[in-house]
Parts: sequence; C-alpha cells; structure tokens
Amino acid sequence: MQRRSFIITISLLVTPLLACSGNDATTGRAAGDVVVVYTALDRQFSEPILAAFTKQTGIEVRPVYDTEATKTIGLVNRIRAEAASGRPRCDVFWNNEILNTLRLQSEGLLQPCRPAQAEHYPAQFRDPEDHWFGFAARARVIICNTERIGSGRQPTSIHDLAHRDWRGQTGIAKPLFGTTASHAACLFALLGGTEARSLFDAFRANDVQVVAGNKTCAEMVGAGRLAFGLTDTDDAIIELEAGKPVKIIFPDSGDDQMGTLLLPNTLALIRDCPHPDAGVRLIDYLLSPEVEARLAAGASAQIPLHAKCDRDSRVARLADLRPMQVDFADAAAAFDEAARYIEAHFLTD
Amino acid sequence: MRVLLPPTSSLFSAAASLLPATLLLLAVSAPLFAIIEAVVRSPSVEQPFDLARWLRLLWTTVIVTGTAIILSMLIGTTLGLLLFRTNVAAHRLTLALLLLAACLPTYVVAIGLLALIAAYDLGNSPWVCGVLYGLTYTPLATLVLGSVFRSADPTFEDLARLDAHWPRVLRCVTLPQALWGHSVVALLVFWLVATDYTFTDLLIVRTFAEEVYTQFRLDYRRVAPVLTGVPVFLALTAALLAAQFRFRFVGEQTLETLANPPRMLPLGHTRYWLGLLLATAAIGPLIVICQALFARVATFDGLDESIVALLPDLRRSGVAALLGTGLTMLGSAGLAWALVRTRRLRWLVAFGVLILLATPAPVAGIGLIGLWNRPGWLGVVYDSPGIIVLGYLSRFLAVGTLLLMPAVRRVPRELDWAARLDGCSWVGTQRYVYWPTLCVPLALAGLVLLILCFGELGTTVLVAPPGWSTVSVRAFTLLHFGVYRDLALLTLLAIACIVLLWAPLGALLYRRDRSHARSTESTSRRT
Repeated sequence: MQRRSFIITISLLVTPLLACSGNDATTGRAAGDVVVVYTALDRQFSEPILAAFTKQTGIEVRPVYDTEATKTIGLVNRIRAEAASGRPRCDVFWNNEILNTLRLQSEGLLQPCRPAQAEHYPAQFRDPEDHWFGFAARARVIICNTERIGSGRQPTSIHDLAHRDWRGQTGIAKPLFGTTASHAACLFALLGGTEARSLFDAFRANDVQVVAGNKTCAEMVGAGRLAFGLTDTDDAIIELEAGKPVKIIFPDSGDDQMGTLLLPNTLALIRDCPHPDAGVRLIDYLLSPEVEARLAAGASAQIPLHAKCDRDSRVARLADLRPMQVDFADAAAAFDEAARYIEAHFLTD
Repeated sequence: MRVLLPPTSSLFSAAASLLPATLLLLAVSAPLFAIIEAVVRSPSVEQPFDLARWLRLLWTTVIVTGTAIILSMLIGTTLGLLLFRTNVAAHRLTLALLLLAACLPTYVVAIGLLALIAAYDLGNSPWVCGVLYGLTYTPLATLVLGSVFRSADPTFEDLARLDAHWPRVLRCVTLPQALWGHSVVALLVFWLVATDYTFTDLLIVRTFAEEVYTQFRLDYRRVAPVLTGVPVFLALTAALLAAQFRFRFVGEQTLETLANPPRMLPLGHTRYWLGLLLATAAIGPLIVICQALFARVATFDGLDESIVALLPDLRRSGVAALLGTGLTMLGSAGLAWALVRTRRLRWLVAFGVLILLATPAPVAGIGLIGLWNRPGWLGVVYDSPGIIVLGYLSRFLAVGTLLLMPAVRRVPRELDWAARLDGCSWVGTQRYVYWPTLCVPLALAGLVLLILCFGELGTTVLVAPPGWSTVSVRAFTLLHFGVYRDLALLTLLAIACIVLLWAPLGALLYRRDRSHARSTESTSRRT
C-alpha cells in the first residue's frame, strides 16, 4: 500500500514535466513559424481571425490581449518598455485605433514594411513611408435609448452631451484610454485647445457620467440607465442587435458640422522585432479583403476600407458617412495635452 | 538529553537540503528584487509623492478589507458554531458544500455574479466591493472558525454549564477561547483581499493592490507601482509578526482535549429545519450562478467546437498548476521541516516565508518581470511558461509551508532516532518513517495548492508569456467585455475542474474526520 502510494506520488510529480515537454509553446520552432502580436482589438473579435491565420499558414500566433480598462495605452507602454530594455518581444502591433500607432512611429519604434495588400487602401489610411496601415474602421457614434428620448428632440451632435435638457443623463467612457482618448485628442486638434477645453468643461458642468469603457456606456444606454452616450459602432451594434430599445446616430453629420470621427484599426511592424518575416505575412493577411469582410460580417460590424472588399458593414457604408476631417498626426501630437487637461480638470473625482 | 546519532550525510540528504533552499531563494528573489529596486530608485520617480491620493487609497483599502473581514467573521462565526458545535442535521453535507464554495477562485465568483447582475448596477462603491469579498471568503472563514470552535477546551465549558445556559456559555466561554481563530481568519481574509484585485478592478475601486496592477499595466514601469504597494507589504508584515508573537502557543491541542472533545449543543427538532436551511444556503448560490452561466451559454449548437477551442487553455492551466504544485510541495516540505526541526536555519526560513506572505500578487509579478526579463538564459525562462510556474512558487511556497508545519510537528522524533540508530539510510528513513506519517497531509496540502495554483490570477496575468494564457488570465481579459457565451462556458469548465479537485479533497478530509472521531471515542471509552 505504502509503496503504491509512493510510486503514485512520484508519478504525479513527473507527469507534468513530461506533459510540458510535449507542449507547443515550449518546443523550439523555427523563427519564421512564430509571430507575436499585441492586439488592442477585443479578444472575442481578434482571436478567431488569428486562429484562421494559423490554420492557413501554419505560423503559430502568440497573442497578448488588452483589457477594457487599460485599453491600448497598456500595450503601447509595454512596447516602449520592451524597446527601452533592448528586448522587443512584439512583432506586430494590432491597434484598434490610430493615434497611439502614430505616437510609436514618432518615437522611432516602428519599422517600415511593404505588404502586398497595402496598395488597395485609400491613401489617408496608410503611412506614405509604410510604417503603419489602417483597415476596418469604426465610427464614434451616439447611442441613444429610444424609450428615454421618446419623440422629443434627438441628439445630433457631441455638443448635446452638454445640453441642459439631458443633465446627468448622458455618459462617455473614461477619455484617457482607447478610442475615447483618441476622440478627445482629435477634438483638441480640430477645434483647438481653447474650444476643446470649453467643451469638456461643459460636459463636466452638465454631469456627464464617466463610465469604465465604451462597452459599459452602450450597455447602460441599452438598459435605460442613460438617455444617450458616446461609444464605438461595435459596442452600439451589439446592443441594437440584442433587441434593446436603442438607436445609433452618427453625430455632427450636417453640412455645417465637423463630421463623424472614423477610426481605423492599424497594423505596424515593431522595430528590431524577433520575427519580422512572419510579422509581414500576418499584416498582409490581416489587410486582405477576406479579413475585412469577416470583421464587417462579425459581431463588431467594422466598416471595410479595402477597395476590393465587396461586403458592407451592417452599421453604415463608408460612402454614406461624413467623416471628420482631422489630421491624425496633429491629433497624435495633441494627445498628451488632451490627456493632461482631462485628468486635471475633467476627472477630478 | 544529548543523543549521539550516526551522521546522515549522503547525496540524497544534501540534495534534500539544497532543493528547498534553492526554491525558497527562487521564490523570495522576485519580491525582494521589486522592493529593493523600488526603494533604491525611488528618488528617480518622476511623479512626486501625493499624500491626498495615498490617503484615498488607504481609506478605500481599509473599507474594502474591513467590510470583508467583519462580514466573513460574523457569518463564519454563526455558521461555524451551528455546523461544528451543534447536532444540526446533514452537517457533513453542508460542510462538503462549503468546502466546494471555498475552493472556487475569486474570478469564478466574479463572473458568476456578473452573469446575474451588470457591473454598473453594483456601483463603484468600496462598501459593495468589501461585501462581495466578504461573501466570497465566508465559506473559508466558516471552515477555519468551526475547526477552532471544535478544539475548544471542554473543561471550562462543562464548569460554566453548571451555572449558565448554552447561549451564555458560548458567548462567555467558547467565543473568548476562539479569539485566536478569529485573529487567524481576520489575517487570512486581510491577506486574500488586500493582495487581490479581481472585484476592485471590476468595480473600479482603487485599493493599493488594484492601483499597483493598473499603474503597471498602464505605464509598464516598475518603481512607482511597487512603491504604491509597499504599505500593504508593511501592514501584512506587522500583522503576521503580531499574530506570531501573540498566538504562538495558543490553539495547540493537548492529549486531554483530544480525548475529550467539547459537547455538542442539542437543537431538538429544529435541527432538521436548520440543517435543510444551511444546506440550501450552501448550495443555493452555486446553483444560481451555474444556472445563470448556463443561460448565457444558451444553446447546445456548436458547443463541442467551443469546448474544443477552450481546451488548450484548460490543458495549459492544468499543466502549469501541476508543475507549480509539484515544485511548491518539494520546497514546502523541506521548509516546514526546517522551521520545525532546525535551530540555525529557522529564522532565515521564517524571514523568507514572511516576505512571501506579505507580498501583494502584482508586486510579485512585477518583481519577476524585473528579475527575469533580461537578455541571455534569464530571458529564455521569462519567455517560456516556466515564468508562470515561478509565479506560483512565489505566491504559494509560504502557504504550503504553513499547511505542512503541523504535520511535520506530529512526527515523533524518537522514530527518526530509532531508525537511524538501526542503521537506516536517509532514503530509508524518509520512506519508512516520514512517508507513512506525512502522506495524507501531503496529499491534502497538494490538493489545496493545486486549487490555489489553478485559480491564481494576480501574478499570472502580468507574467504570462505571449500566446500562453491560462484559464484565469483568459477569463479576466474577457470579463470586462461582459459575460458572453465563451466566458460562461469557460467558467463552467473551470467549475467542473474545481469539482474534480474538490472531490478527493473532501474525501480525504472526511476520512480524516471519521478516523479522528473514532480514535477520540475509543480513547474516551478507555479513560
């Protein structure tokens, strides 16, 4: 009995070692068979696409996902820290917006590459020096609860968040992370510092609720906890298709207004990355019309930008939108100023 | 008495001394590195010390941990008295269910809760956060407090019963005797809550541990976040030292108390109703949570594909947890022996155990990154799943040591001496003296550590290499997007894994409880 239990214990200790030795993550692969991607796109949307890439090419993808609360900024700072320590581990940065990719470019942390699919994208959505490539865009929209708004005046502009009729009934995600931070920086670049600051002061004075993320904002509107809020199309469409009493409004689409902010996903190859060849193959795959069509057809309903993609998003067609004419480079330069002001004056609790 | 024994020097005994020492060094190096680096480099931190922010963090941490401690102790005391000191019906079943609830990792409870209530409905209140933590750790508090109530000295109770009724005896005699148990529970819950950030991150409640995690995830620089976590480290160190000095001789059972367990309070006919109520209260939340998760899974269409997609993470979690448990057990057994049976090494080992216990999970993770994320072979380990196993070692080596110390203490020294005088080799002594006495406690400690490793999140989420997420990391990254089908399914699979681990743990405890009851009965008959 004792001998048997002794043998069982030894076996239990040794088995995991044997199990681990056969594991795919620990076995040595050729450098070209692996690619490390840091992705800020929500895991449930990006994971199936990365799995499809592995299935098609045989290249193993090792992803690092972000959480909603530290969206994008966490991954960007991780890339910076790894570059500073001289050990970059990320090959491809799949950002769900554009400004932080531009900031990495300005810091010299990206390297140019030329994937074959890049030429099929409009010039404003790719870097002339091939440091980054935009695809599959989302729009910053107003999601409003039709039961709470009723037949009264409907919001048409982001300035309506500051309208006294809806005091305390509107919400936005914390504008320090993700697309909301990019939106704030774009407003600072487009409107100028003074007007943008006034807008955020007006938001604060009108008790605009700051919530954890765009997802939460859309859910709160869907549940009737807020009358309307600012969010991304992918979060808004989920509420709409779940049968919640909501409506998606593309803000500031009038002729005399500033337009709706359109934020593409961006892809970039990290400088001195360990697997550059596999990285370029992944970028080329993600820029393909099939992936754009898949992202458009999926739950996130992203808006395709590829010239040859014949699939439209359920949210809107690119041709029907009136995009905000903002210089993303200016917005990237205004990012820190916007974040500092918002932290000091808007998020004072 | 000085006993002249033959020397035990052999290759095996040398290895047996070196291995735990190496493992302790490995485990303690990460938190020590993080703290020393933070202290040395603190003048270079760009952000100035913000007293107002620090005080806000302190206040929130006090509310969260204080609420959790008070709630878990209040409910734990009531349930512990009912289950361990009365003849309430079906108490073994209820205890088994409470053990299952105590085995569930915090993130599983959090996901189950979110399947029932939206996060924004819970609000961003530290009080709510404290209540959630308190309810999560109530089963654990009940089990610990109940065991303490059962080890109360029956002599005082019997004398007091001559002059007073049961409620008064419990209030004036039993509860004061169990003060050390309450202190242990308070310390345990404080340790679990102050070093965790599952609920606090979900409800955006800023405590020290949550702030360390968020600051690091946002900035990816080490010094400022670790400095933020130092107050928790100091508070835990002080609490652990105080508990060690105040209660070091309390709670040890004498032969007399072992032979005469305290009497059970008779409840009359209410024992059946109360038993049913308690069993329902123990199983009810789990059923409700599982039902809510099943509702999120919604349909069986494509279920097999979803499960197959989740299996790699489950397999990785299992392998990492088994490796972590194996390594931790090897170290814990040696360290427990060193703490109980050696003189010179005791304080050094105790210092290491103290450091490990007092370190918040994110600080341990940051220390591992700082120490191992370097060029060369250190970087090779850092890029491999081995870093997750090192994280488990850092988090749970001290816990394993504390779990095994009472068992090592119970092995009679005379048996060891006799074996060695008979010429038994070192391996033989381990095989024929220590193994028979220690195999059940080792199995128990192993199962507890396996459950802890399987549910570990605080360190793993920071150090998991690209492409190697465990169940807890996957659940945590998905949690913030809402409880969708995949997450609900993953949580149900995690619960199934925990049930598989809980079953042998419960069986072992039940067997031990029965044999203890029988031996007590026969001893009391003889006396």
